[in-house]
Amino acid sequence: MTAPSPGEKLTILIASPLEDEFVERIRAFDPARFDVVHDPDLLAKPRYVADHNGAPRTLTADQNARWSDHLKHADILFDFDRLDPINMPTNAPRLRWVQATSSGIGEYLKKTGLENSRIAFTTASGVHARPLAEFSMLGLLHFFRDVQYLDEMKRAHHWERYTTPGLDGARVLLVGLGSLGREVAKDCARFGVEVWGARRTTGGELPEGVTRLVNQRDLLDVLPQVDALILACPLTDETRLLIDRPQVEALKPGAVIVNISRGGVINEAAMVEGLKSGRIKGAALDVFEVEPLPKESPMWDLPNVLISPHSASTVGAENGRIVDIFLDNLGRFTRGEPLRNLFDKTRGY
Amino acid sequence: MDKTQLMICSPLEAELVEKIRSVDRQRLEVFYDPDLYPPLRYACDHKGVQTFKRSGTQTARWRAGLEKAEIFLDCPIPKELPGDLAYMKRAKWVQFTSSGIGEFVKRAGLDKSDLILTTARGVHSGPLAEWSFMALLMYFKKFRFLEAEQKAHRWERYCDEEVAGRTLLTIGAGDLARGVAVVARALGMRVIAVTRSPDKPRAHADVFDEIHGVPDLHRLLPQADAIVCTVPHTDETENMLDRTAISLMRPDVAFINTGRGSTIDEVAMIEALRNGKMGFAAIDVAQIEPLPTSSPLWDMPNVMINPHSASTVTTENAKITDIFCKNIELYLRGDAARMTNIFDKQLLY
Repeated sequence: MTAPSPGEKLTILIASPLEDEFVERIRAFDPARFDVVHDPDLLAKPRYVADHNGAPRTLTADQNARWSDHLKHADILFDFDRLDPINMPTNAPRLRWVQATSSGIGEYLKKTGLENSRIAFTTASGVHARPLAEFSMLGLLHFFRDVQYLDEMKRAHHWERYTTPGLDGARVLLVGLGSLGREVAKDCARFGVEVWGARRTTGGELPEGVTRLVNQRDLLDVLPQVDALILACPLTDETRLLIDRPQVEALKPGAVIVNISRGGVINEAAMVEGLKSGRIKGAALDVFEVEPLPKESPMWDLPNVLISPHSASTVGAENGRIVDIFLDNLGRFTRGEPLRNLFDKTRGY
Repeated sequence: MDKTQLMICSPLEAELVEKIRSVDRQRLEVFYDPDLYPPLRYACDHKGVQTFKRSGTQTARWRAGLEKAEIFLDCPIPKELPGDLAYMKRAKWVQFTSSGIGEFVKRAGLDKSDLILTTARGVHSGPLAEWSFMALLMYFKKFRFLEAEQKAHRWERYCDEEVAGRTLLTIGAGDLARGVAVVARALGMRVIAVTRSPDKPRAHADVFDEIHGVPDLHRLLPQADAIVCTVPHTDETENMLDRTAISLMRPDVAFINTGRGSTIDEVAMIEALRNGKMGFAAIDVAQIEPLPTSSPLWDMPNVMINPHSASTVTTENAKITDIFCKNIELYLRGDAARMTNIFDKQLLY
């Protein structure tokens, strides 16, 4: 993507709910070069802090006209136009680049056909890493430190000393060593967990906390040797059903699963069977094959499943962090440098 | 050459007894007669079943062992002094299997003796840090809310919280506090320690952002999002967190106690938890243990109870044996002053 020519003024359009203080930060970044259009009346209303989808909305004819006009003049978008993403290339003919507010946009770009456009997309990868790593540790500790057992003892008013294996010394297979996986690896290592990592590319340095790199093709051999499986990879053609039935069944009895990637990476039905039988000790899941999780899913009532409604990544500090990335990218864009978190169609993330 | 006599006074796995023997088969003679020890209540139990009694001949063998030994792994802790201590005529060094031995040492007058005392300091900090963070993550990441949503089969995205950026106050700056601080730091928390000896040189002082003396406690309490209490029971720590101290805590504070129940006014704590003046408490220790079945703590939703087992992990004995074996080597070389975890008879810890 070419850098703006000197003196060229560009328009940034804010396309999803964003607090005024952050809009101001964007405005203040380089007012000589960037005009910022923020028309909150036309944007969705956030249902919770850092909600980028917002409540469903319909615009009046007038509002629609105003929005079309904004799109026509936009060179850069902060978030997708969720009203009509498929036609973004036509509706926003000057559009060069969209800064997304989520990390996993591969499926979305495919579905909307946007992956075939000439628009550059940058993700919010990294922003969700800390909160998701915290959720992963919560999940592991929940099962390795017997929360269910302690809850039962508490209900029974029963005090009896006991011994637990604890988390220290457990071995985990972490699939995905990007910004998310790297934070998870560091946290696990901090608790004395032995981390084996699997990622798309082999070779290269071991990320901090990872003691062994495993080839994605050797999963069936490795899975029986680990006490927990953490999925932290993007969903791509390569990772879809990476953990299929044979892989789920290869897990050591008593293993724990944490999924902070996408539901499509694992064979959910096989996982549910394992959880029901107790072969899989427990699972902490932030993502599912179908979201919202259908009411009839047996997972709601399984005592050894922790369900988070795809919210483990969303924390109050999120918008600030996304804007940090955006501002960094605005600088790079101006200087003709490679953008951070640039989506790569061939990689799928 | 006369062998150095070593007696093991608490139950220990056969392979670990072997490990101790193998430190120096030439110079060391290890007394471990398996039927002289009480049955265990749980793995790594050092005290054993309370009703255990040795027969006449067993007692004679036991006492003969005590009389011969110079080195002890644990020593019999009698209800009434001097009990079996009277038989430890040749005792020079006792390696304990716990760290909180201050009360016993004082009561038995061992602080006035020439006996070298070493503790199991370090062995428990890992498991206790794990459990403390299990509790903190559960609270700050709203686990009970998630649980309730799951029970209702409700999928509604929301904005979560994180542990990063919060302030953790440790009561104590010793090994247990260090263990917690190291994890807290890695998770992006600010850590302040309150200790009776803030200026004492500590190898691990960097692990805390600030170290303060007890006189600063009341000033610091309002800054804490979380408090982890790690101190042993001494005259100074008894009731340190009294009604006034509790009133200075943030109303949504998370209080974790892995030290001793006597440090906090339990009645005031219960009131605060009930009246929205304390957000959450996770206790591994209580004023009276076992916690009486009538205690209100059992039924309070914002309380987690661990039956003083948060430090008891299956690898405990292996870790203690490790420390002991290294210390034995130093002792046999005449280098006892360099042993690990020498108990300070003045400070009583």
